[in-house]
Amino acid sequence: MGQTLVQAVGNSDRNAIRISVNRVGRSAQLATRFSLLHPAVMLLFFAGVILLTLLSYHPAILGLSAGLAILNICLYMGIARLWQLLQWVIPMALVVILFNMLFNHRGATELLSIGQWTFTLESLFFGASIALMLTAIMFWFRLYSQFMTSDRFLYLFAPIVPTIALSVAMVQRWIPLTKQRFVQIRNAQKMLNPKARGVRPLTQALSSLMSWSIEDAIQTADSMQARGYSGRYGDRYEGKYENGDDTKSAVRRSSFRSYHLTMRDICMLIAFGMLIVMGTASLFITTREFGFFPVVYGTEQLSGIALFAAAVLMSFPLVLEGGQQLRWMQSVRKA
Amino acid sequence: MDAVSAQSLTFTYPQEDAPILSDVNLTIPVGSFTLLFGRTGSGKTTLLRHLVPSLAPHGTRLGDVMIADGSDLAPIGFVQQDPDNQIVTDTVFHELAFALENQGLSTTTIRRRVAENASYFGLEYLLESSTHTLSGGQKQILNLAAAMVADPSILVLDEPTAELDPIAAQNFLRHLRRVNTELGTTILCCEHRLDDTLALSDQVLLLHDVREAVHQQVQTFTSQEFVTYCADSKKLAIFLPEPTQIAVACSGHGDITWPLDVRSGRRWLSVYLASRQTITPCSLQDLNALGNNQLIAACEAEIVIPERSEGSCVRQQSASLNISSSKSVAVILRDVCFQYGKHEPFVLKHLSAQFEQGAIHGIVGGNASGKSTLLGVICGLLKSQLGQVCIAKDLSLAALPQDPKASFVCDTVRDDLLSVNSATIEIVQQMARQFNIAHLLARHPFDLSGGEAQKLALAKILLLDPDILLLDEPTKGLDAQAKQEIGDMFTDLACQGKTLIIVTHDLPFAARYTQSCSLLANGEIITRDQTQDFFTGNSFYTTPTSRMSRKIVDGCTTPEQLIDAVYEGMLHDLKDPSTRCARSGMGGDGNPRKNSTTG
Repeated sequence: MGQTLVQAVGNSDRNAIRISVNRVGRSAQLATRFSLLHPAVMLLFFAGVILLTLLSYHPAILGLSAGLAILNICLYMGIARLWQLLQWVIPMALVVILFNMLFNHRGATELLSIGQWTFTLESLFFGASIALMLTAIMFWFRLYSQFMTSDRFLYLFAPIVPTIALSVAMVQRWIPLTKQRFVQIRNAQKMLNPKARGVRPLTQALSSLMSWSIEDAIQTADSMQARGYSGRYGDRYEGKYENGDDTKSAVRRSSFRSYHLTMRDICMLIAFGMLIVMGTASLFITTREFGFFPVVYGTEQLSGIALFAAAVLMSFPLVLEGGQQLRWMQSVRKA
Repeated sequence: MDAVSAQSLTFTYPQEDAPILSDVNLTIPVGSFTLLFGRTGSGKTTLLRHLVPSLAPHGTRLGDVMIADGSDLAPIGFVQQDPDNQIVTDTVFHELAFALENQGLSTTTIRRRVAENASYFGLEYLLESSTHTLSGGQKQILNLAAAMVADPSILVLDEPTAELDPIAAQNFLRHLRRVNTELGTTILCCEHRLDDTLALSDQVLLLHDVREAVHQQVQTFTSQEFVTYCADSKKLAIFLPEPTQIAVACSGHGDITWPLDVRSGRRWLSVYLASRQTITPCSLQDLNALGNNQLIAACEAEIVIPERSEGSCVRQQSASLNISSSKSVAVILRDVCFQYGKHEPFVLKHLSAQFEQGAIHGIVGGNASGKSTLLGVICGLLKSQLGQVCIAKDLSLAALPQDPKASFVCDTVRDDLLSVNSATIEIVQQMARQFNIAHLLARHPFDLSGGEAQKLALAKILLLDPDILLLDEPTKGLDAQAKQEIGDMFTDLACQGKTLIIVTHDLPFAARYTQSCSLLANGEIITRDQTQDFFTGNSFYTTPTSRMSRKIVDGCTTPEQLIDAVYEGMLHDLKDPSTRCARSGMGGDGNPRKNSTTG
């Protein structure tokens, strides 16, 4: 992110390049079968996967979750992106393990002791499984943000809260614009005063950014008003119209988004729901049987049902894309 | 039938004594393309806002504004100046749907309208894109499309091309023209650059400043009448398109159809030169009684030469400036390669160049050719991956950002100038006087007009007293007058021995004020030449004057040169009729038609 910030010089040349990069990224994402699913199916899928990962302490399920997440990332985002992710996920995992060893001294099997500090094998196991869980969840969230784009998210929630849906879209518009302006201001400062260091130029830049944004927000408001945004939907609009209508019933804001909920989507929703209920129920029963301290116990208490549910749910995108690939190959052969 | 009409509209802002609009009467016929022209501060924006009911400013208003077709939900579309600020949402699709969502239309209707609208404006391939990834020109076309999607019968535009480079501006105006001719939408467009708009418009409204108003604040003309009016009042002539300027300067106030674009300009030039030659022999005999000197004086009286800019010392030098001369070199680039990221394409590829001291250097080229990147590399904001950037010893360097707003950090112009290191009150006041912004010292920098803001940013940079100045699109959003002021200022700076490197899309500006020009394309400098040779050598990428006079009178890039050439050629012909036929470049073969068709 920092890199893109520096790069956002804000000139047209730059934009042209960003467009090309953006379009390549998007087409790769759009070409998948998974992206054709109804947003509700996607949301339920990710909710289920993340829920199952969060509820289980069992290394088998966590390992399965992390492994399948990695496979999915390879499939949808490419090995290069996975490598980028790993570059900071692995250090983070190591830090989690280290801190757990340092501050958690429970456990029976002593590995090493320095003065009052004792490092135990169980603490290492516990730290490792927490790190594994965190890693898996990071990966799934990365995939979530790849697929649950703002328009899909808003499609699901806009009918419930139309104003918030618009606000989200506006914020998403505002953030890159403001970033771009901030870089422009900082660059201008560097040119005007290359030796200036410390907090003062930064606060100056921020205050200037503030004035710029507020100044321009007035124009945005004008633009919205000129396109018929009245700001209060649901109650009556009291403004005057030139054609003589003094008041006019305001209409409720509608939404342009539309996805078809197909029979296939409904089947998937039901299947996912059942898997999630099965998995969570069995996890709630079996997690009581499994623990780390004083010694690791209950590893053999792994619920087959939970493992099955997690495996089926998490490998679903792989199966989906595999099936698609198969069908594609068949259609090519026929032709 | 009138789409919009105003009767004796008078408007005063709160807490102001004098009205900004006084007794304005105007009518805009249905389906017309109306251009509203007025100098900065004449109340153009205020007038436009009165015509859009939802944006009418607060204040005391007398008189009436009538809008036909008021039964529509959104009878009037409105497009403003800044491409960025008008965009409300994050994706192109949502932006187009915004107005329709406000009307509460059904999803199917919205999708249909957005789809047809996007395909009409050529935005389909961008539908899924985030709005912040678009270029300025694309953003402004998106704003136009987003206003048109509600199907308004009237479209009001407030300086829509002011923030765009000339290529993007022309593209935008093409779309605007289509909206007018293909959909029949009534268009009211406020502009201070008439280059491309005058030829499009059926009607021109001239808005005088209320303090200078002759008898009426708004005068209505056809575009031809408007040119005649400008020709009569010398002040406005520099705002006209180049071909029109030349015709005005040559013909005075003859009873002709004024050329408004290059095509009609070429036709006019051929006819004009031919008519001169057919008439001269007869009139020559008439004039023979007069001595030769008197003859020349008579010709001079007939031809009105437009006023030259004051500081033209460098312009005279430019002919003698040789690029490989012994002048010391300020900046040398050797084999520079640059990319923004490890996996991104090279924006600059093995680029080598040198810029001599004490001159103005222009860098021109299309969008995404790497012009701004090149400036970034020279000033050190961007580090090149390969190659060297050498700045001559003891030379300091400063860059003007593309958007002057980025360089303002304080609440008043005075504080802003003082915030520059080593600036004292005396220096600041002197600088302000020099830039003609002394009366603005107490204002907030964001309240300045485009030209004033550009001057302030330039003044700030000059307080550092740099030897090398890098300027990114310094004429963006400026009207002809402000451009002339800025250009003269640049010329003065070059006379003082400073080196200016200007990246610009504005070819007439480059032709007029630079000494050398480079064409940057695909990350390489394709050609570099003295400005005059550069523009006469190009046939597409050159000034309107050059395109207008090519193959008729060769070697002219600015209106002044062409007027001079026409004038000198005529004198030549008058003095020595026998050489007339030899000057084939002047259409001397007696067949003007041949010349006009070869073009």
